[in-house]
Amino acid sequence: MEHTLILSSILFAAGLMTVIVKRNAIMVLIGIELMLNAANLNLVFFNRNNPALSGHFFALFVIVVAVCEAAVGLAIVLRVYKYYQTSIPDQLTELKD
Amino acid sequence: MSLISLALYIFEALAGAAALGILLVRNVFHAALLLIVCLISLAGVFVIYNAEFIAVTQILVYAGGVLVLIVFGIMLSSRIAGKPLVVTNQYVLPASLAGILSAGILIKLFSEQPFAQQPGALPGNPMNQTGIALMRDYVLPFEIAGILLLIALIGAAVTASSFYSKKQ
Amino acid sequence: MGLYYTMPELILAGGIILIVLIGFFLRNKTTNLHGLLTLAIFTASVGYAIFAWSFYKTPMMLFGNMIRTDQFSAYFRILADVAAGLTVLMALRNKSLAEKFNSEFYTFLTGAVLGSHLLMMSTNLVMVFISLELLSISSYILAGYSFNKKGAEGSLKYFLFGSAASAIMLYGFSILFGITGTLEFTSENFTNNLSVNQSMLVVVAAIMAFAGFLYKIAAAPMHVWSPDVYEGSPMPVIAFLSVVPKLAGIVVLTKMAMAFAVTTVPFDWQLVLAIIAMLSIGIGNLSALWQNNAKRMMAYSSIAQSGFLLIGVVCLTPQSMQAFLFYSALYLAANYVVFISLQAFEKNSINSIPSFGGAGRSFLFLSIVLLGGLISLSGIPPTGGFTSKLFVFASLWASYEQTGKSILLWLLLFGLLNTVISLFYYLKIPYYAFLKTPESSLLPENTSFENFLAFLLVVGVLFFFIRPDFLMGWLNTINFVL
Repeated sequence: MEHTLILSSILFAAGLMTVIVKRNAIMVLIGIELMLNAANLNLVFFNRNNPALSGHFFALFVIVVAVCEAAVGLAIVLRVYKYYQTSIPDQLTELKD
Repeated sequence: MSLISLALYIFEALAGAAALGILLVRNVFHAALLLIVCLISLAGVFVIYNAEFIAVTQILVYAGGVLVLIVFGIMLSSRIAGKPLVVTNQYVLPASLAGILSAGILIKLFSEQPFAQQPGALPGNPMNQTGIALMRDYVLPFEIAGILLLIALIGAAVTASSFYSKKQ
Repeated sequence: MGLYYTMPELILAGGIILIVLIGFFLRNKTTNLHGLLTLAIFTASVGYAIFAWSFYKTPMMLFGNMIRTDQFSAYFRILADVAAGLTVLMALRNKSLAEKFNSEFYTFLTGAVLGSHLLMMSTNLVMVFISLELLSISSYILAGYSFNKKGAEGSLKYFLFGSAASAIMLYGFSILFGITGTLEFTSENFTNNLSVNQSMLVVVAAIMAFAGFLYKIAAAPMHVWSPDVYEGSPMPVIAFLSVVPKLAGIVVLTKMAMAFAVTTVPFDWQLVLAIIAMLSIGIGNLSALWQNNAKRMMAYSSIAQSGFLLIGVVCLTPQSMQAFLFYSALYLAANYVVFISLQAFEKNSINSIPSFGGAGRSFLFLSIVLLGGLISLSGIPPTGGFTSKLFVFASLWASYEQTGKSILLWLLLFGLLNTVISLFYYLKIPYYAFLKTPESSLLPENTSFENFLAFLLVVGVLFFFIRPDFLMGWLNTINFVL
């Protein structure tokens, strides 16, 4: 059993819990970043002996995508804040059944 | 215990502690700072696993870019200037159940799985290999990443602009 | 060499840059030029794909085994382009879209279509992830394009759910990479290593990996975002979101399921997908019954429809794949009929279902066309929707007889029952339109273009009821390879 995999499981679980527990869109975003990093850690760890480096490249593209997601996501959070004066998803109640 | 494995343990412990800290703190800004600690420790782990290029990218792009964005987001969306953005928790019990369960299942399954040691070793100069492969085998995702960045750039500008969005 | 095969994608990528550049020069001008240019791009892409149809006969691995061109994906790429072209036509008739960030709208639309093209072709997990994100990020922005309170809220919910789902999917991918040591999920290496390393971890990783796709197609446990997003978005965007990401997600799900189908892992993906299909159909239909807003009703309807689309993947036989191809084309046509007519009604400020009262009198032609689209979606004759549901159920029955799995029989019965249930809400709007008296008299806006466009599609839908062999004969020539 490798301790790196324990760390990646903990990071993933912490990210998942942050996404569910925290009542703020920015905190949810931080939780998502934790989950992405857990996946990155897995990818780099599993690539220890792989000369094709495919895990490393996957991790690289994950980082690029994470940046795009964060940029667009925070822009959306700002727009929501402009209308609602809040960044708490639960307080947005315009749309419901 | 060699120096390198000691460093690995320290970095991993730091990253894990920071991740758990994010769960516990209530101030969003503190959470962002803890995220930096976590990301930089992970960069250290990446260096030890011979992924220097990923580690550098992690620090430059993640710790340098994403974190600045998040801090901007915090500052622009706190209701009263000067008052820290504090969040409350919801669904604490089901969420902690889900978290502990998922961590437990993953750790148990990881420990049972014999991950086959792949034959071979990392190339001597991975940085060199990275550059060549990025332009040869991974040229399509590389170009698509360019388009993705363009779309995200324009999209963030359009979304955040107050050009047409009047309060209503 | 590979560039010949990926010419449609090159056209789309070049088109994105062209639209951005033209947008610079025509800033602050209300013009149809962006829309017409985008339409030309999609037409060129479809035209090339049809022209080069025989190229795709033999599957080709391109760009270092990143993507594979074959007729299966080429067919869906054509469908995605057609849907995007129809979206452009709708957007050209939408005044509020023409005023705000017009050229950017078409940039994101083209970006989303490019993402879906690559997603359908990809055979490598890196490519799956990055093209899925290109599709998703463009969709997040498009969902906020109504630039009001509701739009912002829908966009935020879509984003938060979406990025959490894709992070879970990515974690699944990383475990699959650890077990198999390769990212090419259609390669023998991948399937062999999965067969050798049988454990529960494979099951967990596969379920995590599927979660991202199920989110994209709005299937049952991952569907909660869709009604809110649909309600807050402009009509052309909803029409797009209900077709293109859905088809792209199911195509890549099919490829993943095929990779698991050839292995002997303990993961009974057929059971899992059958349950998900049943849940989607049931939840979608039952929730749609209570809706008062036409957009929300169509959101639940599209959840139920993705359940029917999933049936093709559940069986994974050549017959069910053909039924799936046929169903997708008819679903696209009928869905666009409904959304084009709804946009025309929305122009006359008819939004909620009760406000359709008496619309049949003021907009007789449009109401009849809408009725045709809704009947096709629910799947009763004389429309192509009936034929396509018939094909799907027939393939499900054949698959049940072959394997004897009782879950397939349950799925068949449940699907039939829900076809009846869906009638109740699909016919709600026509009921109000034809049998109720108008609440108030209004000055009708000109909807002749919508009438014409929706009429053309309805004629197509009716035609495939009479001559389904027209499309089926073509689909029979498509060969399915892993």
